[in-house]
Amino acid sequence: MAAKPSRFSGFRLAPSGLKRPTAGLCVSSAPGSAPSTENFDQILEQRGVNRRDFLKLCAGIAATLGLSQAMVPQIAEALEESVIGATQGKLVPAIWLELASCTGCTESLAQAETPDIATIVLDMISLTYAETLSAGAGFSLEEAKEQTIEAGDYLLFIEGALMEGWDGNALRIADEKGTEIVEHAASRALAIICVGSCAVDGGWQAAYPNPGGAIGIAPYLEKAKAAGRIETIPPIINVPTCPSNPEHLIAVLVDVLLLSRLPELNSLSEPALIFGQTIHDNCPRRGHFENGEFVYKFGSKEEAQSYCLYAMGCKGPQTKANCPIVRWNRRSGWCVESGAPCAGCASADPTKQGFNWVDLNAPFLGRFKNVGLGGLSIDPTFIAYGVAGVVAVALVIHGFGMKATGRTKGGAPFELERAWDKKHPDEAVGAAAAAKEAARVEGREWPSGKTEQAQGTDASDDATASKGAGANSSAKADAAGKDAMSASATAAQVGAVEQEGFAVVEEEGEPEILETLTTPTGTVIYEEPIESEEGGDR
Amino acid sequence: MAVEAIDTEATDAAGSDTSNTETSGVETTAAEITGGATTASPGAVRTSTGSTISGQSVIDPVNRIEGHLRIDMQVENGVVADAWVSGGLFRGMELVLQGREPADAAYISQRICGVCPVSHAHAACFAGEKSYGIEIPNAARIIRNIGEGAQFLHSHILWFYNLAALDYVNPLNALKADPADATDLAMSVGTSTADFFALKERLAGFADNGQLSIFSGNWFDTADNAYALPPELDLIATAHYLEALEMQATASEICGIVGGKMPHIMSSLPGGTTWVPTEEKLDDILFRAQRIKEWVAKTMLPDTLAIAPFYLDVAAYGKGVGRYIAWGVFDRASRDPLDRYLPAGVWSFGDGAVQPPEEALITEETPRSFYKDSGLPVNPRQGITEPQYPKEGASREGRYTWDKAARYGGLPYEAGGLSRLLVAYNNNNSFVKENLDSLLSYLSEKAGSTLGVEALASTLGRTAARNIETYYIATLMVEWIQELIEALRSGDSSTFTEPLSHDGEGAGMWEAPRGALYHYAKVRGNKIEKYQIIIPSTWNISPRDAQGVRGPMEEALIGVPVHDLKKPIHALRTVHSFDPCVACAVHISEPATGKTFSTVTSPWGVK
Repeated sequence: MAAKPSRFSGFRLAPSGLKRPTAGLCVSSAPGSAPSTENFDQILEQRGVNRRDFLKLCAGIAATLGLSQAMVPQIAEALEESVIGATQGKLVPAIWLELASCTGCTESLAQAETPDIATIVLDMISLTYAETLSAGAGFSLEEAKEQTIEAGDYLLFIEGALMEGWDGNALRIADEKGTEIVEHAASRALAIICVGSCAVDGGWQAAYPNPGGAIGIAPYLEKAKAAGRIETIPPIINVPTCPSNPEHLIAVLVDVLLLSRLPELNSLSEPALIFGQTIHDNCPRRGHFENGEFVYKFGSKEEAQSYCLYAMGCKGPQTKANCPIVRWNRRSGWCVESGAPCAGCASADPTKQGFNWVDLNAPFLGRFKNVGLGGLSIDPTFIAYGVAGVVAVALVIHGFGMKATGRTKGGAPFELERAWDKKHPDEAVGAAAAAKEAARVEGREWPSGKTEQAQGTDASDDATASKGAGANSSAKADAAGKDAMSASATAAQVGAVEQEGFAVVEEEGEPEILETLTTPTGTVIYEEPIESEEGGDR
Repeated sequence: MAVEAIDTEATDAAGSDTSNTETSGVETTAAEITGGATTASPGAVRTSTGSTISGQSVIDPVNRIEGHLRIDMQVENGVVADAWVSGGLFRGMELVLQGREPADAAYISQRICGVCPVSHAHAACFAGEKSYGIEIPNAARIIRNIGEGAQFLHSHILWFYNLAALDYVNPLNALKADPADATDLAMSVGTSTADFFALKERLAGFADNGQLSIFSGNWFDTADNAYALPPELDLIATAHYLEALEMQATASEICGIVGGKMPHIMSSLPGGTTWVPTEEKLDDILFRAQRIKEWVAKTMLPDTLAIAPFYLDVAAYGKGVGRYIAWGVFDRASRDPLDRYLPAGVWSFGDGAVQPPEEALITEETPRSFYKDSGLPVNPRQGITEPQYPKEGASREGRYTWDKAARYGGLPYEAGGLSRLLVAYNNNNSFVKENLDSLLSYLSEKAGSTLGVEALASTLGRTAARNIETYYIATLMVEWIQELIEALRSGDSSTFTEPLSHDGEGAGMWEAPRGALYHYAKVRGNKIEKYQIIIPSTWNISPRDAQGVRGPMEEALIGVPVHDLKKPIHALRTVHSFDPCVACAVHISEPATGKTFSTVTSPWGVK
């Protein structure tokens, strides 16, 4: 009975402990027609197999499994009582679990164009369990899932976050905790595909204060493994964005089904080709960014001219996904084309707490206004150089990008002049802000910073400047932090900020960027080098 | 655990008024319907030859809905005697929104539901705009109607064909159909034809492979023997199931153009819209809207009329509480909720006139829900969200759901398409009145008895009414796009209004496809201090209140026939007729035997 599961090893015996459904195979059976044996025979017949051959096959299975030939009738019975039909065929078996989700990823998959959803579930995968799509419900649907798991080697799609709140009772399906369902379903899966940002790292539900205890699938399974509840974790493919883009899922399916391989994954287990470049890299409005042409107000002339939305809070520069290329809804549009700044919904990092896209990117219309990080609201001027310098990181990366492509001499000047603000209708943001910024950099307001030239500086100079600024910004961080956080958490965070800050260093032509971030609870400080988009792989 | 189906007289022990034991017992055969053009009116109740089956019946999870729902039913003598509907997920949206900006609420709150995100965005925008003290420009109003309308079309089409239809249509039975007869039948009932030969071949290939895919664990063989369509009609409906997948995607393309992506549009923010209607884009959405309108008129409505006569028994159960609320949706230039294309109103059978809704009469209470507060009814403006799962676990007698009990004037009310149409009908909306009357007269003819408006208060009525609404909205969509073009031509092109104040409060009362939607925000310094949401399914899957009064779906399940405790198809149809947007659970149980029947979805799924 301990045969290693493989979808190529022939029919598998359903274990005796399996609850038996009352239903038989229903292919081509009319409502209320005779019981299942007849239908199963029909199927065998259609496939050119007579009952005698079938019993011989069962005998073969018994021999393979080292069972007594007396078991043959029971094996036959087990197969006949299947509610999922044949356990082997041209379709790869698949289970789609919905956990703490909005069903948006299922909805999104229903918008797939080539192939469409019907082709996927009729001609590509045998989707034996999907709450939103399945014909069956309740007990018989659970039975279908159980039989699929028993047969092994299925693709496990997971939509939505796991909820650990109230010992896992924040999510109960079919009288079982979501956490238990996932541990069980993962046990014999060929691979797990985490569909959408919630499944990757908890998504918005993990946003501060994370009241339900949301967590991504991969980190949860790591915990379960560490606790000895599961032995192995199947390969995991993370497919973030909110919802998941059906084109991304289909790309994964093509890899798995047609090419019989897993897609190449990056360090976050995301398909590298899809999540390798920033939105900004491929944005059709990129030219306006380079030209310093920005939308400062919705409903304005600049908006009508499709100027860059960076000044409205677009998170495109820091968000990696190929949305501008694949677009959405059968390529009819995408966020920036509808005039909305990218909300960064692809930002999901299962390896770090508090890196969900909402905490990372809200307020979504905020650029240098307030940057929220968990419960912490960070001062706008501080952010430019500060601890949670995600925007700044992106801009520095962008600067390197411009340097690498030879578009600017010596690299971008880290927004010292904020060229895009020069045309801002509000003086406080435009010329005045630029003057203030320059003063600060020149040391009048920020005395420890090295004086910068406005233009033509080297990236390493930028790095020094921003490092200095980060170290000096602790007072502001303290003030901002106290608004939202407990004094102790603030102190801990600010301390770390002071030490690590946010730095840009250029070594041997390769930029290394350190970023420091906190979790929503403020108890964990994370810091690591992040890879420049220009570094290494291009 | 075997299913019992005992042929004795149903005794209707539950005192239900929905007994449908008067049945002809006649089954329509394929020959009958394919033999002639207009014989498709069996009107037979196939299941209720009388049954004394009793016990608990549970549907958990309820399939083909949004979220996790559990239905627990107590069955006595073949009908549901009591029911508990529970939602199995807590997510804590309101808590996550605190401290963020109104614009963030418009983005984040959409993640409550991937089926009706646009409605959440708009309710959040209304709440934000009231807090800001502003009203959006006229062109933005029309653009919102277009995005909202596209979502309604997407949702209703997907719901009817791809979610609900599998309770009535057996695609595997279509394997027995003669494609030529199917073509004749389609023409005779006035619905669109398709390449039925190719489809049958495709289905045969699927069946031949033997793997059941989404038909795994199906209920086509329920002891209720409830799938009644002739194979040819099953084949037609399956063809249109596939077409519907295309049409709902086309509707979503309109959202994709206007809102960037669907689910979860990006362009609607407090103040207006970020979308700039260029000529090219207007053309793109107009073409799609016209295509959908034509398809709804030529396929969806005729299909409804062709299938309904086989399921007239479904009109005999699922009544519910008979009280209806609608906050109204699709603003006219007046911005008056009572003047909306689908107006705001509160209406009950026997009450006469439609009353304007009063926000102060809305309360939520949690005596049977997993929350910590006192359990006393409070207006959402005073309400708090403090979750607490009981140590002793969920129970029928105690707390059993993550859903709160929403009440209006202290009573449970049904929300949804039927509510909107009944309010519009009683407001003398000519389109709605004409089409509902026409539907009723058609059904009366098929049933051989006069069916009044009260017949709509049923599982079948709720289902059919939603399709009439689809037609209404498809028609309006084309009008709105033309209205927008006219507005732009006359220079009325402003699309965004800046806030007048960053302090304030207000409620956005709007409609999602599933019914009345309420977002309340209190804003200080452009930060949300307090946020409360009451979604449509909070009304519909509401648990009992302190007085022990059941919620609308629980009430609708009472009296529903059950002949197969494991596959209670009529209960499932009734649950689906509400188009619930939450996972929650319904249990049925039988005092005599202690057996119960449960369907589980989770009310927590909504927030």
